[in-house]
Amino acid sequence: MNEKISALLDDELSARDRDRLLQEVGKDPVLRVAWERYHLIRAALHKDIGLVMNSDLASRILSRIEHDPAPSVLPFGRPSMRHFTRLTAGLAIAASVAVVAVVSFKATLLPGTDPASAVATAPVANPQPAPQPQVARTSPDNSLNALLVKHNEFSRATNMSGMISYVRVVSQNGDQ
Amino acid sequence: MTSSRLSKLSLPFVLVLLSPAVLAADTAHDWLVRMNRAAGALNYDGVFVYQHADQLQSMRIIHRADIHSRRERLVALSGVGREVIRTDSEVRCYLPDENAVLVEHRKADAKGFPNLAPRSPGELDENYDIRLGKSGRVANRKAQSVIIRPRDAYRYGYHLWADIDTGLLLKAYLIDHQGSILEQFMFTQVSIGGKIADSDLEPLNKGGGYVWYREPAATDTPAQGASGWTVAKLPKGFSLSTHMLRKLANRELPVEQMVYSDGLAVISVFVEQIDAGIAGRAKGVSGFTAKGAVNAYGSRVGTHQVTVVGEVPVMTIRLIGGSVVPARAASGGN
Repeated sequence: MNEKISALLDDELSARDRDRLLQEVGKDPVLRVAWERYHLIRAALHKDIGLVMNSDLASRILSRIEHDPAPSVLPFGRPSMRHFTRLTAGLAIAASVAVVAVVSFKATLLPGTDPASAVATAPVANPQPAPQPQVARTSPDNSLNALLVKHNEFSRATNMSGMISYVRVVSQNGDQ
Repeated sequence: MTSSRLSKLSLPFVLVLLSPAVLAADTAHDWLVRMNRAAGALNYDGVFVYQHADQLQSMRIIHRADIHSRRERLVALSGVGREVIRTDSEVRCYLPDENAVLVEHRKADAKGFPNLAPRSPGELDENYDIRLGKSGRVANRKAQSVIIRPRDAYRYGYHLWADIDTGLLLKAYLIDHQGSILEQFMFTQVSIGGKIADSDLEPLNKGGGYVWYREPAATDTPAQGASGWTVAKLPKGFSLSTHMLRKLANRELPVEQMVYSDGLAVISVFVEQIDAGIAGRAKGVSGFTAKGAVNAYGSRVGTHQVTVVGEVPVMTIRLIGGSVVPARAASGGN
């Protein structure tokens, strides 16, 4: 299963397998933690960690490492430079990532920045980042939510009459 | 189908229905019409997953429609349990993590406010390549896919799967110009056409102890040209669909909203005067930000805050956000 999550992030799954996996991850909280972790590791390797850190996630990882010596959800398998998420030194990497994460979370908080909102809309690095201008991943308070609701009224068939737009409102900050 | 029935649909694709080309066969455009209609007209209760970058959420959606009204409830099954209840007249967002309930009135469908101008298949085809894909199975139902590819980098593409029996959208990918999936949604189970109990449409937490942010009722007005703003540089295919002054639950002053569309993608431009008294609380978006696949750009133009929001690439938001000017300046009146 973890191998599959890794493959998903590397965009190596068939559409059918991808759907099946997303379905399972959607249902299973343990798999969701694994999912977060893979993203975190990938983000760290991409040096995006300052953008993505979530103190809760980091502490969960630290706690998992302390209490779960068998790194059952850490990436093992085929070593490959391309497969960022499949480094064989999984445990060590995860530990250092967690520490980097905690440190950089503290370091990147600017004076006056609300930690909750700083991470609220901070998606971890996109599995396949499209070449586009750097987007600031900070939350501009819930004033954007109010504008989104006004915007969502004008929706199209591609969006279930706006339903997916509201998913964005509901899903913000959902993992915390 | 009579014209009076058509008008009741009040759907953006109504004109497509009248097109002889569509009447001839089940074209991709035909499926878009069905999907649009099904989402509003059917009863359904299902669980779906939504994925964007590292965010993966399971949600339940319950939708009930009868002759008189529609009511919909969206519940996050993971995380803090945010909920949205949507009726014909209002949207309530229950946000336990912010200890708040946000109530907004829906004006787009109400009398006096125009829906987005319908586009003909020909107009859509200028900006998108729309064709039928393969059929397959989603949530254990037979589904027909429709592939929508943008013709330039100013808009996203879509890959949609519609329930063959009812037309309900069962699965959707939002795809960027390079073909990468930006966001996806998929029902994992859904029952369509069953009876929906009232209790299933009530929020789990009714908002006791929450702070309610409720906008004043019936305060939106169509914007008159004299006070207006305009966008000087629009990407090809986008045009102004509607323009109005709106009251927001958490704003003291009205906000001017201009909606631009190319027939599928929709962009809102909000312009609001910065009120010194509430400047701290009403601090707007500054620079680029994103929420799911929605990009937003905020800036100050003189004494006004300009915010551009849309499910479009950053370059589109940037082009529009950088060219919002008072209408007088644009027309050379200055």
